[in-house]
Amino acid sequence: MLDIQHLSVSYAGGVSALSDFSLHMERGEVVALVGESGSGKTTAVRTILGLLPPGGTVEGGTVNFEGRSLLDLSRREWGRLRGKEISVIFQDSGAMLNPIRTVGSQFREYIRAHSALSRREAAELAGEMLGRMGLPNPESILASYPFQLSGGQRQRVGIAMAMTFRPRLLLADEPTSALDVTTQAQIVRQLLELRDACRTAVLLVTHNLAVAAYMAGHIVVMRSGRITDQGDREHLLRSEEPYTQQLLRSVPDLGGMWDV
Amino acid sequence: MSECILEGRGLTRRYRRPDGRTLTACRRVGLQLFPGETLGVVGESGCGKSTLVRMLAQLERPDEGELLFQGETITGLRGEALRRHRPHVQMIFQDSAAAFFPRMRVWDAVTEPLRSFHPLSRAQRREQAARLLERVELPVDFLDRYPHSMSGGQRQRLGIARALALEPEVLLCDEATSALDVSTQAQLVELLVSLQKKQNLSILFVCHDLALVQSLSHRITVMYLGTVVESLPSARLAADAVHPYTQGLLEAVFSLHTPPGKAIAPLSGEAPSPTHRPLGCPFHTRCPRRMERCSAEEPPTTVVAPGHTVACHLY
Repeated sequence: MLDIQHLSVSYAGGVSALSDFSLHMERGEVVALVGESGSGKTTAVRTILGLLPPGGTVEGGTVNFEGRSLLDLSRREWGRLRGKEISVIFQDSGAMLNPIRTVGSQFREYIRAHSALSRREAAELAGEMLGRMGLPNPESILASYPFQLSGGQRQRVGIAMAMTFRPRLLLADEPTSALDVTTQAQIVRQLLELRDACRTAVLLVTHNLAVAAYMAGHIVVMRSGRITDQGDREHLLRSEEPYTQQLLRSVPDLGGMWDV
Repeated sequence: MSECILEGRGLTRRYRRPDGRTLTACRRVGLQLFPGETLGVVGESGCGKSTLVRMLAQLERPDEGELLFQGETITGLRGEALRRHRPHVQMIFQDSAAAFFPRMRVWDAVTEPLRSFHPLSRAQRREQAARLLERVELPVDFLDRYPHSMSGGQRQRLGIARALALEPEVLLCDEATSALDVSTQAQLVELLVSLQKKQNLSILFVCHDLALVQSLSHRITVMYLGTVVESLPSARLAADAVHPYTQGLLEAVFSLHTPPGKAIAPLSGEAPSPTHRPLGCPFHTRCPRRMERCSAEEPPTTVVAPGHTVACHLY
């Protein structure tokens, strides 16, 4: 479904952000990209979405989605794909919402931009999606402005919007990193439930190895724009690759690491 | 255990909001810090942990309650007496980029606290700065750099160096490693642990990451909506924690060893706003084991085992 081969991306001044990056995903699969700041994981997501910042250039390689290349789509073609077949959630969904419009008016606008639904049908669908995200009172959420919601509520709104059209591919860039642990656990569970219901493939970008190990069937470890290791959870836990071992040692685990 | 070095009794802090409501950030918080130990304070956003640290650092005065240093009350200290107390308790902050004046060079920044207490020449201060950098394992040729030219991890080491300049007995860390990558975080925690061993430093480590706090603390205090719900020895956390909120937090922590198929049953809902504290037990609105009295009576803090206290009607 998604197939990336030997992708290289550089930023202005010839700084290489991604080199020889290959990735293959099938329907319903969860793949995690893990790595620390500057490892290139966000560049990979931005390239897939065709949203490299100014100065970012694809130097080589291919990105194919359902058999067609994503590297030379027109604006119109992107408009049909993004938000419908490929959608995205960010670390803080609040930042993508307009602060001076209600959540409901933006949610409806989003739905109507991608479908022929009436205003009322769009409102119903929005409410239904929020309900599926476990938000107890969808009507009041839709009537709220983004700043009136908690971080967890905003993130649920973002996921509800992203999943409205049952996308084939969901790109989730640090979706739970800004949340409290109990909220993080709720969202992880809901993401997996939606994945099961919609058979959406999820590309999860995270620095949290424990969340990656729980959610993903395949984990890709990145450093300085390169893939240094990959495999399933068992592979990584037993990996002899030095950087993987260093990362694993750094993850705090209940039971203690330091001799205090 | 030896005499308590820093103690808070019944610390309460309320803020008056512009809309007239009262926000209770901390309510009757009690805690004790002993020499040479690390006390971890965990809780989610809005639980009052930062307000607590600010009261302990005397950046903020409690509305009620008492603060003691080595057994003597310091709550009412003002002016010169407060200034003389400050070297004993120092603090490091989460955002190291904001914690340094951008136009001060490293040597000047780390020795700035010394200027208020010791008349030193420029050469003496540079010498001190070099010694401080060495203690936090930073290269001495950083002396003439600016903080913004350093990485987040290096800058946080600088924060520790500056906090150590006055040889404090107590170091308060408010989410000091939360903005860092995991491997940088691990190195910084290692440094804190080794500094503590060398100098018998007492550390209060406030953080939202239960696994991290557990891995470096001797004792743990769990806060929820401005109150302490449970305190216990760190080594017994996973096995002995009894408060439903602590258990909910433990359930929500992902570990590398969590089996991928394992069903997760996180606490439902979110914490109420501190401007609308529920009556009775602050946790009753989300508690899976709530009883009738929980919404009416605030549970007292009881001792369930040596060094283990809990505020819950079940115990």
